[in-house]
Amino acid sequence: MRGLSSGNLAPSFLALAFALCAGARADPVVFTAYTVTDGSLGSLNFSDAPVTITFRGDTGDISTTESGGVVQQYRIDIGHATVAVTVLGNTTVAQITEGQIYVHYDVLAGVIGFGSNAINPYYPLTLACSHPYSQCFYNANGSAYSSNQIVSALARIDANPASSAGYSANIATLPQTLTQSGLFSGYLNACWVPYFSGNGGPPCPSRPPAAMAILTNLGGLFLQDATLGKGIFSVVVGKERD
Amino acid sequence: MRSVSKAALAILAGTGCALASTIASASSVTYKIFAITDVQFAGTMYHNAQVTLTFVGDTGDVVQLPISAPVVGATISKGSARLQIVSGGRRIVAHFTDQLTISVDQTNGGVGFGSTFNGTFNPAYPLAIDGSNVGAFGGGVVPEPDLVTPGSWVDHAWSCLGFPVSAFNGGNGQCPDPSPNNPLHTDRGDFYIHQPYQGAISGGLITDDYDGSINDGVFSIIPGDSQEDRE
Repeated sequence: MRGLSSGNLAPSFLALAFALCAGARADPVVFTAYTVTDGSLGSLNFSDAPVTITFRGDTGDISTTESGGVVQQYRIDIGHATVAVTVLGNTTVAQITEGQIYVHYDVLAGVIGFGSNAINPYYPLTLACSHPYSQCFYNANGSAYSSNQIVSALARIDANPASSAGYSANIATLPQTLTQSGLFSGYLNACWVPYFSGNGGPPCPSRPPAAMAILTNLGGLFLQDATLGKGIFSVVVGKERD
Repeated sequence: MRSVSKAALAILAGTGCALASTIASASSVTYKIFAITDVQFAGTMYHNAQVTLTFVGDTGDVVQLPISAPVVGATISKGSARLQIVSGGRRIVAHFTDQLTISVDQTNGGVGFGSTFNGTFNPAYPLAIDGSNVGAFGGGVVPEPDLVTPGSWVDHAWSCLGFPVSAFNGGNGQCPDPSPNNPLHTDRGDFYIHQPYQGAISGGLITDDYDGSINDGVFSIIPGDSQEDRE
């Protein structure tokens, strides 16, 4: 067996160590969704109020689902989440109980937001291509779904690159991942039951049973689906300043 | 804001409050708009920054749009405006020394912060929202903003000099980045805001005064001098 000289060994180990560190790199990440809707938080009932859900985690905890070597879905379950509701200028912030919600992004379907294991993947707050559609599918032959929001425009361009002519060049520069800072807009999905077959169907029932609340330190959180609602979702990777 | 012609808006800018009647009794009010977009402030560019504009005025100064039917709306120019930028963990606050104007077009579903350059009023620059949630197409499921009644709305966010832009409404189809000729002055430097995420483009031109922006923003009317905006 041929021995390695120290001169050869050191770079090899350095390269290996770098590769391992790079593969396991973890950065703090903040996911935030902004919308306006009805609902309640503990004893606070609100109507047409700004609602912000924030989830702080670590990029090292983001899992992916691939198909054909391409990441199609991102998800992170580990993190600390809060909800802020502003009524007449006064903001109430609640801590969401650990494990109640997760962050997910389905690149192909054009769906991003916060889901819950106990209730459904699109509740309490998800942004999608349209309403009431939790899943949209685009292809090179076009689509019946609207694509006038960032999350759906990106999905449409993926399916049909020629459609990028309908958007400004900056759209294509937006990262389609949860691991880099990015920005999405979309139609609000905040229905506590899945839409019929995931696409269309009857309106969302007005309010879930109390047992299906998102748990917070201020009581149960309920959000109401909104037919014309929209929202903003941001991903910010990097340390926050105090 | 589809049917608001440039001529009509020029009338608004030229005649202002003098010809309009007040539509509310006096009480302090705060208007706020939020979006995540690209801005330039005091010579530095900020990509996808959290931008909040705040305007504190008095509901007694809200007047009806001095333009003829069928466009109905309201406006207020008397008040003070503030800028907040959050980017990269930094928070920047400045106060506008230029006069901004809040206006709402209830007929076409648009509301936001406007400005005047060279005698031309720009209802969607620095930042406004429009679309069905604000009341466009008569489909609003929430009350349309009137600049007096508290509420919040989320819809397409525009930062466009020369709005409306579609040729259908007499526009040139473009929302270019603001030039050095269009600064908004603050006490800490000049402010420019961009509209990087545009849609409904055909032949290189924006063809729709709603879907022409695929970014969203939140506009709120808050009673009082909003405490959370004080430094």
